[in-house]
Amino acid sequence: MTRLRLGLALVWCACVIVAGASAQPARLVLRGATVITATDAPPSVATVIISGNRIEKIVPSPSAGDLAGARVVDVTGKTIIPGLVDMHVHYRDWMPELLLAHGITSIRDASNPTEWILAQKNGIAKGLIPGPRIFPSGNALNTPPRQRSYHAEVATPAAAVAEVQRLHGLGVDYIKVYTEMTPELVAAVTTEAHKRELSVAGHFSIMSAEQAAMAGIDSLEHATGITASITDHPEAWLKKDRELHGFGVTTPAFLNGLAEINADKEAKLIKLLVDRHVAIGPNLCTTARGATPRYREYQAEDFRLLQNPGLSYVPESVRTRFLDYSWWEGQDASERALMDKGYKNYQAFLLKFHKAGGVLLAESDTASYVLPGISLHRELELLVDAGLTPFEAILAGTRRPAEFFKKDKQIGTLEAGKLADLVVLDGDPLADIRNTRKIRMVIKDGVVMDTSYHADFAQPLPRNLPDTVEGNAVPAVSQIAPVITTEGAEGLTLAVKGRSFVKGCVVLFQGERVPTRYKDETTIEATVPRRLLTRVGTFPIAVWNPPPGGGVSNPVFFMVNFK
Amino acid sequence: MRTSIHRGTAAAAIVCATVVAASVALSAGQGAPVSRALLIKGGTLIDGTGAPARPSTAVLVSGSTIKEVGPSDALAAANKGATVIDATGKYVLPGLIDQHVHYVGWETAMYPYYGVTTVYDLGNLTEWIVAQRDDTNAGLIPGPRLYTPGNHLNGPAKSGDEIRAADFAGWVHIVTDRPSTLAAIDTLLSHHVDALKIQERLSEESLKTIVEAANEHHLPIVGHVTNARTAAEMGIKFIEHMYPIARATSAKGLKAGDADMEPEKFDDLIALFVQKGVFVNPTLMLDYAGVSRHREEWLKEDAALGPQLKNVRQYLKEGWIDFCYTVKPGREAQTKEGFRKASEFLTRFVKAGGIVLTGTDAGRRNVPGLSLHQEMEILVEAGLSPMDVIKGSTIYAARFFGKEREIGSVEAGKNADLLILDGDPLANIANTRKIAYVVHNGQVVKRSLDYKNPLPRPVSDEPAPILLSDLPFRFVQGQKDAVLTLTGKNFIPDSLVQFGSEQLTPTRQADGSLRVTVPAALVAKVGTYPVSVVNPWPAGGQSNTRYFMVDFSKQTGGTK
Repeated sequence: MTRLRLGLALVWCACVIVAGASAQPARLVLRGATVITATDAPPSVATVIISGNRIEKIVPSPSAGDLAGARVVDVTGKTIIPGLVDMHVHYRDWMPELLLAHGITSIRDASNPTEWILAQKNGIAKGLIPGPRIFPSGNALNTPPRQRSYHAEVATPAAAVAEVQRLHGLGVDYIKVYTEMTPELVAAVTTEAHKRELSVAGHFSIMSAEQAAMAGIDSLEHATGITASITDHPEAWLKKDRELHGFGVTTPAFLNGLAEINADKEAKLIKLLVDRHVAIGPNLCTTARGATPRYREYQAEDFRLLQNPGLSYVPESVRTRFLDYSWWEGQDASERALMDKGYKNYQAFLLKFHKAGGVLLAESDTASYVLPGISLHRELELLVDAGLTPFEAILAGTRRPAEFFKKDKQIGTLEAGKLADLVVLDGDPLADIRNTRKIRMVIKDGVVMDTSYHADFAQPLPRNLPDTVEGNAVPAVSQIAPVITTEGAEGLTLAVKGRSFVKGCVVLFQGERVPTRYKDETTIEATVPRRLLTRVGTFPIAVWNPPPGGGVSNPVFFMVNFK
Repeated sequence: MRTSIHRGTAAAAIVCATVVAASVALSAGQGAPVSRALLIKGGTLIDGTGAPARPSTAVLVSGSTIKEVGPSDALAAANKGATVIDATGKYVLPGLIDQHVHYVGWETAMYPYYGVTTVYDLGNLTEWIVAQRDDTNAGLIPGPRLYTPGNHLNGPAKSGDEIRAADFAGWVHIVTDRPSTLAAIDTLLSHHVDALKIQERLSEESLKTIVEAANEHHLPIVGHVTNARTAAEMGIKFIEHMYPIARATSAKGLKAGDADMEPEKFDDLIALFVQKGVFVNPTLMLDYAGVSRHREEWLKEDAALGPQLKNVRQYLKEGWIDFCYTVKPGREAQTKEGFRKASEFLTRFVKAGGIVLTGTDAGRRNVPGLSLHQEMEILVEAGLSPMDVIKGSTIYAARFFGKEREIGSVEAGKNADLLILDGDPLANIANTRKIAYVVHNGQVVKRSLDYKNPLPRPVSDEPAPILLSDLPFRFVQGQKDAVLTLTGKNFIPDSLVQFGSEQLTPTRQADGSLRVTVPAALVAKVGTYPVSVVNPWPAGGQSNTRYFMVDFSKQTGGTK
């Protein structure tokens, strides 16, 4: 991944520079659409005038004034909404095109190697990498032993405070606490973070939502912790969640655990959360991934999307995860009945929370089990299924996140002076929330984004941890046959055994690529031409897996002996 | 060594590579080499059989064979046309045999350099070691005559079993029953191996099959045993190292060290060994060089050799010293006691007619070639006579592998492998190092340590390095050289740092970490660069990969 596809970036860079340098910034005018500003103002047909990277004004169409020199785009009959915000993205280097093409102009990153995600954020902000605005947490905080190499281990409140200070110094936008954190540690984190005007989001496993709220948490990711607070018997769920290392929310276990809830406890928790301004990320597209009756349709939608040859760079490992519903489909009838009941209870809980004034934040948890981009549209749809109006669902994906982050002066609504992040739709999402998918145009920072996919999309700054699940693995070679030939021999077929071979892998004979046939992930064959067998010696044989990820295996050695 | 030389012109290759040209004349007419006889006259012969030294004895060599051994004057008179080596005042011995080496490929020429004209490799990747053997015999690679069992034979590893180098480097046939054992033996036989090497995990069925096949094909069986007594009772004729003897002569059994041996139990075991014709190869140098009275002089000797071995990795040179000469703190007394008891056993064993060999385990653990001289010296220190240890390095070692008709002594009809010394080894065994000439296969060896194996070993027994450091800081485009400090495991003095596609030479810090300067040109472009540590061949290869980021500089790009 060395080639930098800069065409788009350069164009947009030039725009920004022109905008900054010239007294009369470049103007972009969208005329004739219905504008859903996500403010309290009702939707209306208006002209949006963008100057540089900001919205100059939004005016009733006939009174746009002097538009000389502006680029005017007629979008009559279309609908404009603010750029979408996905509040839970495990951002990876291959995601930008998918996120932008789906109108997602900002994301909250749910933990990553700090230096890398900050470098991405800055590269994107400078227009050097195409991608959404990133609000990163950097390392997540968790107790030892370390689950992920990009977690910071904090064993004591003092260590937790020091880590918050360190991350704040590096420039993160919020703090993420993880599954094994205790109430005492979370309280230390939130106290320090709030002093620094950082919010704290938590994915909890051993703590209840009530404990988290009392410890000062600002958002419950995947609504974790509610089970312990609103059911009488959370043990089965907790046991399952422990077996799954705290990631039970990505399986049917979470909904199954909500099959029986205690109405008094539920009411009490809702009041506590609302009083203490704790937001919930419902993350329905993941937690109810196989519970929604829409799942077959979603599966087919993913399948079709992944057929796009422009997306050939999406890693094989995540493709299979997106399409795999075996956890859900493997349930027996009684488990399924529990899940259905739990899903209804969960939807009802979210609606009650919402009606009580609680803040719901749209989040996808991509790419754990759902595709980047499209999954946020499903989240909005599933919020509507839960009882929100389409407008309220749109707020969960635009204004509410901006308010949560105290960025509502910059993004989240369409108003004069705000950053020009917006999406032009071919349909009216207030009539049918599914129309958020009908994306005509995406504008970020005042620039029309390229929303097509490019097979040669190359990230100039790949993630520095390809040892994790995304992307092709680095292959390993265990043996070759034959291991020896004699100088001047005819070309030969080399059988190579090992692991993690992928289609498109290539055998390297002392660094030189030789024709390779893929058989399966443990077996490939290479044709070694005669010209490579003219010299006596011991030559390294390695296998290269293509990007994303990928790389060159360990060498094993092939001998050319004297004749 | 030119790599274009083919077997068809092997003799010519020998002229180029290893032989004093004067000893061979080329026949102009046919272009084929015709060698004149070689006469080594005037020397004192110590023929390797244990017979007393014979002054003024000549050895007549024809081709690669010893043609005649006899009184110097008479042989000289009868062979006036022969090329002559005047060995007056010198001592003529059989070429030495190291019966226990682990051939690694970089050391091949060290053996003949030190007068070791034959080695027994005790297990290696079959295809490679057989190629080495045949190429060396053909004169294409300088080195000793080589015998080998090829791959080990072993049973499948259960959890908790010791994993040997052969297991992870893949030079082992894993066999379970008779058919799989026979199939493995067929493969080995197709490569014409010289022995079969067994390991501890073999099933009884496999062992029985191996013994039968070895008898049928007249191949010796070599390998490790756990207890010397039970092994000898089963009819196994080799004991490598002292520990199986310690286990058989101590109440501590499997946990016994040499210091735990109970000398009152020696006689029984010695009687059994002598009765069964067991060969004992004690490898004293490995265990006791650190407490030998020769320790300091050997250390100097090994260190002086270092700079001459230009193609040998530094970690190997340092490793020889670590392995042999370092006694663990607090274990000096125990080590000395072990040496004392091992010496007592060996002395009594030889007195009772037992056979002691002088194999060294050379390769990774001590200096190939040279260590055989040191082993002979430490055995004399242990109480054996110089004649005993010369026999252990010649005729007994040949007998051990069933090669007594070809090598091991200076007798007519045997291969002409000779060692000609400037000093009398019977007077002082250290004189085996005073080498005047080495003759191998009838040719005078051009002794040199400057060589490179054209066919390096394709497997490594060394562990790969492991890179543990995070590379947490990010480097910004346009900065000058980047300095990285890498920590991890299994770093060696020869470790290199792989940065992207470039290899950089780091400096080793006192704490074992590696510090490397990445030139500005390599970090000029934004990117995420793989960094790993490489232990070059024959060490363990490449480590895991960590990543180093070069970020956009603050000056690059937009206005925000």
